[in-house]
Amino acid sequence: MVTKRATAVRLPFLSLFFESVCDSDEAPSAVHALATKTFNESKGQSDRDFSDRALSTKTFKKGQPIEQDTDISAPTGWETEIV
Amino acid sequence: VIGILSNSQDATANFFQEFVSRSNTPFVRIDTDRLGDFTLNFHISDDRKASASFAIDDQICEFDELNALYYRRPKPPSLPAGLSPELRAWIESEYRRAWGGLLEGATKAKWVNHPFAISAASYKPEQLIRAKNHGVAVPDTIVTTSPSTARSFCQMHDWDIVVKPLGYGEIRNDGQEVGQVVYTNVLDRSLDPTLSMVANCPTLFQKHLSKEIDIRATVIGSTCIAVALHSQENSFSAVDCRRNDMVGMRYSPIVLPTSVRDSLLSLTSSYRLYFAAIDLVLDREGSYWFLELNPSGQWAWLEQLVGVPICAALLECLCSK
Repeated sequence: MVTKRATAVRLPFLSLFFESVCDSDEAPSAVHALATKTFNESKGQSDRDFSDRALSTKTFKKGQPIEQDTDISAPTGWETEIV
Repeated sequence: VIGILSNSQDATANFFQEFVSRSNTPFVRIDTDRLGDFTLNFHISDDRKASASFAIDDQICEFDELNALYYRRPKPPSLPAGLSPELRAWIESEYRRAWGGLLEGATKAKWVNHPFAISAASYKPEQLIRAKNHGVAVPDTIVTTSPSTARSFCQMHDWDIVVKPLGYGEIRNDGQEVGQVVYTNVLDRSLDPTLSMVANCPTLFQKHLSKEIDIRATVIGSTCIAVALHSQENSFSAVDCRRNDMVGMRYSPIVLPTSVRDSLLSLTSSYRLYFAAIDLVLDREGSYWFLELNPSGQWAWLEQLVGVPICAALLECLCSK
């Protein structure tokens, strides 16, 4: 999607190295794994899970996977973008 | 009270929260994507002292109770469906100004890290300049929109060059899901004809280092915890250690030379950061090279896999003046 749209304009040099996280034959990247995990968690977690977690000292689930991306974060307002 | 400011999907914040809980340190988790579930109250007038508090799930916290804030990865609040993009943006702005204003103004909290400091530390060219000024070696690097400059640089280094993004490596689609990614990649001469594309966007080229190991140095206050990533043991991780989800990566704790450690501490401090995840390379000649600094970088997986005491150092940092 991104590549098709950008093809109409002038592509950055780095686009030569863009890799699809959906179509890649490689094992999932850290970024892909993170995105997949977040998606799956958001599908599987109820509102109750969220409300229990905030302010609670007892809701952390041991063994929960930890993200492994090595990234710079540049906050703009709320968000720290994953790099 | 320590505030853990992040989002409800942040597993690293959960990991740290469990540690804080076990230490019996009072804390409050503030997931900004859930701010709609919080009740917020602020009152000020000529004849009364300002008061500010928030509550959730029958728990109340005064803002001035917050001694420290661990600013992890806040995200915009989740808002009801059906709002127009314009109205959604406006409501998010109102939330941000209310909460941001009170966290900044109604507390004397120590921020680890303050978002302004994070923002200031998030520009790779500036990082390289600053790192060098603080005594850390930096690889020969250019950022250019000139194809001829790029070509000359590649030729000067006999095309032993890597290219990588200046900022983030995710290209998100309209639904804000990650559609494509870009890692650090090695160039070769066959790409010479494509260098004209450099004119389309600033591009960072860097001399390809002959790595012995990658190093992740996590600075917390005056502590520096370094872990070697033995990235050269697998071909897929040799250039960018994040590839293949770091499956099979071997790690080991290491001690950096004092001069390197001191440079990293002063570099981090110069940004008014209390926390930084710094990527280094030890080359095959025994030299240490700075790659980048991540003000909100990941760290929990290192504690899980290597046992380095980052949680303890972070908590100590938050609890100290």
